[in-house]
Amino acid sequence: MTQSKSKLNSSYAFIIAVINTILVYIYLFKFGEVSENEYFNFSILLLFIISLQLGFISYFDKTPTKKMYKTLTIIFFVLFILLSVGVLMLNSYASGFNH
Amino acid sequence: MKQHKLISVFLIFTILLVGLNSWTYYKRQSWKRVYYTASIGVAKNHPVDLYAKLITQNGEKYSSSSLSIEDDFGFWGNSYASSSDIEYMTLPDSLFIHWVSLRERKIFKGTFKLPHKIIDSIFKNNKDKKQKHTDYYGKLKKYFNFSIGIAPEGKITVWIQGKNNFQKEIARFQAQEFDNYLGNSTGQESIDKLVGKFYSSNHKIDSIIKNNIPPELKKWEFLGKKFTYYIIHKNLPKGINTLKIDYFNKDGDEYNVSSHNNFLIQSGAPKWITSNKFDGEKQLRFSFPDSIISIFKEKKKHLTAKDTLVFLLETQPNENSTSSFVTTINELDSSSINN
Repeated sequence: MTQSKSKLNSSYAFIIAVINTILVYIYLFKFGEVSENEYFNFSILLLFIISLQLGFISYFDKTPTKKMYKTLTIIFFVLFILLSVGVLMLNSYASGFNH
Repeated sequence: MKQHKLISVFLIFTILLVGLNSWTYYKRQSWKRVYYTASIGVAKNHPVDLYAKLITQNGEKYSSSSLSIEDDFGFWGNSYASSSDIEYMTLPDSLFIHWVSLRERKIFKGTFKLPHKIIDSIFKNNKDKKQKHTDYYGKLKKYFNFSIGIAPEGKITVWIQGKNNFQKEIARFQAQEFDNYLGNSTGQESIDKLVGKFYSSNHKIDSIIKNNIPPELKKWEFLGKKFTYYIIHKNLPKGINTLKIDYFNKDGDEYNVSSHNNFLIQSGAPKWITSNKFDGEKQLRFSFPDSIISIFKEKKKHLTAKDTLVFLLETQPNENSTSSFVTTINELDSSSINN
């Protein structure tokens, strides 16, 4: 008996990823689990979660849309890296200023 | 068709996140949460050192750190919170307060149950009177402030304060004298320490505390006196649509006088009445002295059964002046209150 490998329906996966992102957003920001001072840091975390999901979709996608998901992953990941570096630099400046 | 493993993993996360959100919604009682602030004001020239907190039914606390209050935080009935103090919580259930009245050289303490039904109805029925603040992230927060007023002899008054002059007294409490304030010190030692280190840039307050000037005990009780009466207006100049009224007990509200000519009031005697601008820049403004409270008291003393006090604002036809009178329904033509 041969076992056929299931193909990823990337559009379906993308919709679920959007729903998951919204649910994480609601948990963090709408239920006030994050204090207002940490909004920005958690927005960066949200960018990481988005890029991670897109990364998985682009990795398993074997259709022509793979390229689009790959590009989106790179965009979100670059945004995540840039903002993280920005925050780290600002924090180090701030701690230097405090001393 | 067999599901791809990634879809299964994503779906598991969806289920987990839905569960987490539902549990958080239930645990936080999110449907009951509202925005509010709290602030404390003291009787003028009666500084205190205090610790206070509003406690919700689920045990959350809106607390002040230990505060030394002179005039900076506002006066009795006139205290204001900063928009940075806005909290998103269920309505407060009780008030804990512990303070040293520096001028009286006394410590007071108490936990008081707040009138939940009154608070709830004000929050539900006066949504248009909530203050508004848009935070840094563009989120609009509509809120009321709990203004807590402290007067000598352990007297506490709580108001709910909104915008457009809205302020409503919701409770009065009497705190008991207590014999402890600072951690390891006795009551007297705590008082001595706090009085000893007291400093105010306001020379008058500084001198009052240093020279042990006795407190004004009856003033706040007198100002807080409440009456039930009608405010009736007759022949107000055309163009006047609203009257803002401040009362001596620090209640306040704005009234639409274009649709009604009488309002039943359960507050202090009126202190300020201000109309909207009309005829270009004209505006009616009345300011009443403390003695109006005595007039109300005197009139109330001689009130017969089934009669009610009336505060009448009347503009005489063909005259350009508006006068005010304290009278009663029986003394007036009863048709005045029929709209």
